[in-house]
Amino acid sequence: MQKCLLINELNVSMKKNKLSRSCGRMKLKYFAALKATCAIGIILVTTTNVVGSDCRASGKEVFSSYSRDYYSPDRLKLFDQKESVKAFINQTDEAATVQQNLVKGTVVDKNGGPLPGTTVTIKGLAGGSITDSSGNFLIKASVGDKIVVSFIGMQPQIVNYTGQGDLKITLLEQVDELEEVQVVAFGTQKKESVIASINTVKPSELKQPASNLTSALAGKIPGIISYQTTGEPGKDNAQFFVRGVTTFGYKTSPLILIDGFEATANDLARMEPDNIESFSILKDASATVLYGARGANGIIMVVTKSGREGPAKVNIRIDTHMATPTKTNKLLDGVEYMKLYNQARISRNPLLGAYYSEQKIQSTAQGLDPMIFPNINWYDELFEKSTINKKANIDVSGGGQVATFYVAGSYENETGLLKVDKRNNFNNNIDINRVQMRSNVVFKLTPTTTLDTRIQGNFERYTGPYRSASDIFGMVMNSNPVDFPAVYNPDPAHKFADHILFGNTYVTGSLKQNPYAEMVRGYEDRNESTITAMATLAQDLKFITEGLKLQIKGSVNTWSKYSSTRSYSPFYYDLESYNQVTGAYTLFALNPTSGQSYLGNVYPGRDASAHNYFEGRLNWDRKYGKHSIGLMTVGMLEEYLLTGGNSTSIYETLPEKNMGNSGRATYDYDKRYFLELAYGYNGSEKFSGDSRYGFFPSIGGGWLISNEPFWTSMKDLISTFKLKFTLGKVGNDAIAGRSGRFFYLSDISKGGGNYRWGSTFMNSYSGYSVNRYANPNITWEVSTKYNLGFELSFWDEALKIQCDFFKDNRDHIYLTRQNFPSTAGLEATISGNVGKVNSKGIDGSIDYQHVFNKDFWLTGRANYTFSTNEYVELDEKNYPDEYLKHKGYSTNQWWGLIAERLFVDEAEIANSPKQDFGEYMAGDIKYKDVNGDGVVNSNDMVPLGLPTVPEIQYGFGLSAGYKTFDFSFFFQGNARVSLFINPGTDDNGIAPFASRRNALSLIANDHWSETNPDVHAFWPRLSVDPIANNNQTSSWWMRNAAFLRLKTVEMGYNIPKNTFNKIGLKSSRIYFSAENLFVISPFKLWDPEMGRGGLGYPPNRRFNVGVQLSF
Amino acid sequence: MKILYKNLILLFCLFSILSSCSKYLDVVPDNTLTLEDLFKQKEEAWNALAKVYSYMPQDDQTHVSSWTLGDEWLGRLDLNNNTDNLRAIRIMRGLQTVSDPELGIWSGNQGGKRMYEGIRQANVFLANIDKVPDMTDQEKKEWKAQVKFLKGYYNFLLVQRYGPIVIVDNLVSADATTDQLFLPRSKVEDCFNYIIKLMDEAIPDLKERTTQLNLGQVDQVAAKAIKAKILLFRASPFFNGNMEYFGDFLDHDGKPFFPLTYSKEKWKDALDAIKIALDACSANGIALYTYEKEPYTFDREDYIANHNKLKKQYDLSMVITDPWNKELIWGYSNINVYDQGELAHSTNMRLPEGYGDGVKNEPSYSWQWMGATYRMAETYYTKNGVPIDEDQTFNRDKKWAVIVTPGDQDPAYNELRGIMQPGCETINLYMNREPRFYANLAITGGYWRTHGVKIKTMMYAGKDGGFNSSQHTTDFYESGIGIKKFVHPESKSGAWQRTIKYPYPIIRLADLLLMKAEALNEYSNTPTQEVYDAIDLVRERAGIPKVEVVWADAGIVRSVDKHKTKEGMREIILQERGIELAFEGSRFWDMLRYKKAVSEFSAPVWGWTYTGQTGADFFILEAKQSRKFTITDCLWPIDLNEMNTNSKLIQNPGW
Repeated sequence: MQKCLLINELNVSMKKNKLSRSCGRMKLKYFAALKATCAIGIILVTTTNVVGSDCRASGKEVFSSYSRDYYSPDRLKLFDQKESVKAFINQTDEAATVQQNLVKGTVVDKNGGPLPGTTVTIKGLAGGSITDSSGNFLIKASVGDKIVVSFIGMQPQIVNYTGQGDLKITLLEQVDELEEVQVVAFGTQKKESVIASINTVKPSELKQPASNLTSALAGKIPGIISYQTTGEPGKDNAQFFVRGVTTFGYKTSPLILIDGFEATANDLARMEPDNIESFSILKDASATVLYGARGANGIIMVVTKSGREGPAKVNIRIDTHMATPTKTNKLLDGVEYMKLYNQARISRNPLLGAYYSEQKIQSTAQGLDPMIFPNINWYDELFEKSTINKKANIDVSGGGQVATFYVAGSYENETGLLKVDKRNNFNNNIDINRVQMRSNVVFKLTPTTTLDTRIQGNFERYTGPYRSASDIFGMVMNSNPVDFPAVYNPDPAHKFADHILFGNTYVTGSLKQNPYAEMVRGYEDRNESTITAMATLAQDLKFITEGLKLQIKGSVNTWSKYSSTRSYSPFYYDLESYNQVTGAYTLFALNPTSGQSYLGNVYPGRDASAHNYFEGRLNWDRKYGKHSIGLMTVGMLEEYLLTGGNSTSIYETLPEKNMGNSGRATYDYDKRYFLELAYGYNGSEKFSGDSRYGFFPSIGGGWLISNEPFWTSMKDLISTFKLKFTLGKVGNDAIAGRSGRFFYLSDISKGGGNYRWGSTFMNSYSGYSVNRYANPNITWEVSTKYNLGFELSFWDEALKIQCDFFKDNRDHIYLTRQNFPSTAGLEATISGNVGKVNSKGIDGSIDYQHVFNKDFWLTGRANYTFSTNEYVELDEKNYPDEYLKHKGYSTNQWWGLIAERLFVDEAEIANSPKQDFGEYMAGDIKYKDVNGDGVVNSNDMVPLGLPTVPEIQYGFGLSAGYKTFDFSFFFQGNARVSLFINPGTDDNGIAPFASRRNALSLIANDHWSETNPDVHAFWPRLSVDPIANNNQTSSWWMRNAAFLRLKTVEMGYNIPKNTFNKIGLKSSRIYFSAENLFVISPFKLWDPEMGRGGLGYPPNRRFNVGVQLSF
Repeated sequence: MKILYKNLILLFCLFSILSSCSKYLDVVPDNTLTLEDLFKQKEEAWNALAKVYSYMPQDDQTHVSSWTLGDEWLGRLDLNNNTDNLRAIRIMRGLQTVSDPELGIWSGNQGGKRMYEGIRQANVFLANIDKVPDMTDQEKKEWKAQVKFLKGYYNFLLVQRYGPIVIVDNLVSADATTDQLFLPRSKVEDCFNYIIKLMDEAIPDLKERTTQLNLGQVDQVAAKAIKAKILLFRASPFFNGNMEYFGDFLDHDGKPFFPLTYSKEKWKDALDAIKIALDACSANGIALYTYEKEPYTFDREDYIANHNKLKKQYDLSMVITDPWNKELIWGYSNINVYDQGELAHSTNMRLPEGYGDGVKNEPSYSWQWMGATYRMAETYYTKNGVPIDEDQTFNRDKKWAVIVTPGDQDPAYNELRGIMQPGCETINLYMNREPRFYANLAITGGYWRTHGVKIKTMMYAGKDGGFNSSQHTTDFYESGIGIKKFVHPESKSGAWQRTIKYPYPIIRLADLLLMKAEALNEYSNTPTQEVYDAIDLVRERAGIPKVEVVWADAGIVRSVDKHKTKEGMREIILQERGIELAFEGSRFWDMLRYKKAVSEFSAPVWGWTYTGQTGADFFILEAKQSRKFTITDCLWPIDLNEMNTNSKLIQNPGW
């Protein structure tokens, strides 16, 4: 039995049989004594002759972990003989008599501001000094001493005292511990020992004027492919994928974990970068296998900040930005519209004659009374040019020995571009008020026990238009500039009408859409709240064995959303008569009985969910000489309860559940060779029997070459060189929507096969429908991931390069089997786990930082992601022609017809293969009959262009600081992506004139006509009807959607510290930033990132002014 | 070691906590509905039976009806580009495609029911019905027979449209091998034999005649009549020795799909089946319809004054719409009681102003836009029961002359009373026609008994029954000729309760009688009296002279004794079918059977100028819609999707 004796300088001693038991008390006692008077850390003496390594190690760990702020492990001295202790004490007493100088100095931060409260000590000695409010200190030191300057949150600095005069010491902010420690699944690892493919971004890099975090992801993180198709506030979440889309199954998006708890994309979107401690992407098998149930599509892991011991720090940030569309579409002016409409009408059927009279065209051109001759640019009529948004964020952090806290609150107001009609007494514009609160408090219950509590609430109050703002943008295309004004000024008969006189007219038997009326006729009132609470109890179990820790965690989240959409039915009017001389006009009511002047028709929306999670976990880390071993096991239970909106389906409202056990073993030898094994064993409610649980293992290895002895000579140049390889299988149970998830059950419902008999037809039975045939074998989608990566850094980490090559072979993809003939008579589709997709790619990043001198620094960063995939198996039809088969092509590849050009004349049509898409004439698109069967139909569709999701995404930027100024910019680009313009008449279709739709001005300038039979014109022969022949997906409408945009620019000015010292301001910064300043792309029609949806709510350009204050 | 041991215990504990709740993942309650539940009691099994029936084609529904194939119907032209509407007419316009076939019943494209799904449901039913505990064996047998018959009927509907089909006699399971899944098409003759075999198996177990609550279900009479019809198709030239069309339509084995040699004996088979069916009809009181009730009040005076003619009008105009009348052999009972869309609704005219005591003019249930093509105005016989071109008493040359009908007081008006308006503008073509003409068509100068009133139809723009730009810009009869056959006099608009519901005939006695005449004529070398007797039964009810009398009368017909040759008689029978069964989906198939569809249906359809406000403006013929029907169209295309799926399939010729 080993005995340990603890002595402090005051000669208080304790005898204990077991070190482990004494540790807790020993520390507290010793701690107090040490702080006041101790010059030397700790003297640990054993009564035996041999100092046990356990004793030594645990002593070290106790002190380093418990009171890092006060000790460095250097100050721990270990002795194995009482005599030596005495000798040491004597010696230090002697040392104290060495002549000491009174050293004067100032401590400042990197901006030159004083740092009051900084601890200044002499290494190896107790006592020391603390700087005053101007950052000055006085301390006694001898030549050769090491003066240690430390401040919470700053990198401690050690100055060798050589007898120099006044010291000026600049402390740099502590670069997050992330530099050393990497967040991994269920824990952290030392960065150098991580062999999984994990990328971490600094939260500051995600800062941008837009208040949606997901829109900041593109190009910022290697391995993420992201794009944002709309700028509508509240609906502007970007799509994002880890390593691209690697499956064609139901769920392609990554798992999002916020503080280890699954969260939604909306939760992520609303995260305030200021509150984020670390933001990581887990990409390969080794990193994701532990989340076997959901990890297959990669993981985004966010950890929020927690407090640090020390005085309370307050951070305030206030931003105001102006948002304006990056680009709005140009529409035809009224006069041109009418002329071209007439042309379109006659073009296909000369008998029809002109629709708009020459008199109307002339009068409109002259700009006569806009009530009678409207000429409306609906974009101007409906939308403001810009809108102002505001945001404020405050956080307070600090703590003492019992607890540390981080409390944050933020408020945000975001508005849309919609105009509001003053005649209504409600606001139909998008107006979102968001309040967010976060309270992260860590209690130290005992020296070995901590309780980490995190509570977060997001509250969103939304009012917005009756129809979504994107729809209203789309409606512009459904109206036209000349048929009616948005609102008529009342004529004498309607002078006292108590409602707005919206303009409208009948087209082919139904009223047109008046976008203005649709916009102002009502509003949506919505409240959404999310409350998340988490508690983690961590217990150090070193009394059982060194390095063993237990952690129990429970998380609860409730989310609810309820809305009421209130509206009235607008009264529509059309012009009845007009007196050319007096200008007087009369209106007639188009819907005098169905209009309604008060808000009625409330449409309710209700949705809510609860999400519960429990986990228990054991970690054991131990080092034996050069061998480091780590073991981890975790069990978890997870449950979602949901209403599924107003769903009444049994299957849709049953809870979703997962449970499982995961584990990991890590080993490294001498920080040179690393090995990691991990597994996940997960169960899901979606499967049954043997298929219910899936076992997902992974293995990885790494070699830190730069730690090899032979590397020493190169270390100055290449400071780190690591190779790593992992492979493993990861599961995914989210393979179908909620209502269709119980694959092992057949789904039969009453109805859908009714028949009635009887003399009065009342002997009626509803029949039944088979919605799904049972398939008990359906099971997990499995991803086999390979990752080969290297990390390189040069010149002491000034330049860092990391790169991963990956393969993701997805199999067991759940799909609807295509290859079933109709003759089998199946009523529902048959599905199976038979799909396979192989993905591969590269992602990497280059970081460079250089501090030229204390006034000038520069950092640069570039990211690159390339991800491509191909169908390997999709149970395809037995197509007669190879090009019809999707196998071997990307899951985002589109098939379409090859458009040769426009038909020259009717003779050419007669001599060309028949095109099986309705009627067509000269000037319509001529397609290639690929299989040569004399008919152009869907069997002539070939893979066209590139995938519609970018295969390459990249970003690069520079930040620089000069004295009190800083400047940064960031470019982001997509490449290898195609876009198909929608030439139809649906919401995002650009076809002009059908049902008197609007027309893009581009079409006026570039279309086929008899007078200008350009067979390569942008638009085929005009028509006032939809022409199905031209609406087919074809190469005619395919465009290269690659782009490079200046995503953000920021300029900042740090107000010199002294300026506001008196009010306790430690630092302050004023900055100006801008987002989406310009985009360079071969596609000019609209912002290429919008893809097909170019007529919707455009992405925003933003100009932001902000101030950041720290107290 | 001890430490490790403790570790293990801890690990084990944690794990056991989790695995102890293995029930945690069972979230689905036990009592959700499964297929087995449907066969646990009779009341549920009814649903399974309904399911099998539910694949019957919805010929009542305007946009998916196959009755509008051919050249009898004309709908709204502004819907011409609308692919979801008037699909049968789209076929006639030459718009049939392989990509998404109109009314494709092979895979269920564009309004077609998925016939193979129906066949599968039948197989599911047959495999499970014996499990129902609370049904007697007799009931099960009878239900099985119904289902078996339907299985055969669905196969026939496929053969009718596709010729050779894939025969799926057994349930295909979801994990079937490719050999079981991907089947080739069978020869036409094998298909017919298969269908007839199913029907022969079913017929003895069927009820002889269904009644009351079960009306609409298949019984022996219906099954025998349908079987007869199938055999008639088999004997017809299209399916019987059609070297001309299908001489090079060969199977994988190099043998023709269609029987290329004509077999006269097939007519004998058909004839025998028709006779059996007719016997069953007479044994069960099925007879040609005549109106037996009191006339409506608005007709009471005319009914007395012009009794015979008006009684005939009543007999003829309610053959279809008098629900479950004695002429109906099998009716489609699955009408959509609560909704609109039937031919009854699209053909009914709107109630004009001034009628119905101020009842509002509602467009629902009286769409007023399905009308007849001009051809139909010529097809009907003259009052002598012969075609207008044959009738020497009919002034062909002046048929389009605008005239005025005799005035109310004019004795010449007596026989027109209740049929044509007095002193009213119309044209010669509309005069001196057979009673069915007046009973079926809504014409200028006539009457339409609908909405519970008697409307004087004028069909001119702005007049009753005509185009009215201010009230209904799209709802008008494009040809200016309405169809009264499917509108019950009491059917009103506005709500489902106000319409009279009736079953749409799948087969009725007049059809069977004419089939008998046809089969007899084809089987015998020259027409016999038996042929004339069969057709005369129908003509007698129609109020026209016997065929052998009038065609022998040189004072009336031009081609005297046409009825004495087989070919002449064939033409007479086909025209008789065209008139008696007009608009009921018969003419298209008759022309197809005799390989006349291409020549008959390729010409444009015509109609009057609906914008005309006077006789002079209105009675000008306009080509309304071009039509294109080729040999290729005679067989429906198998959809591209299916062709891409099953490589054993051979596409129909031309597609």
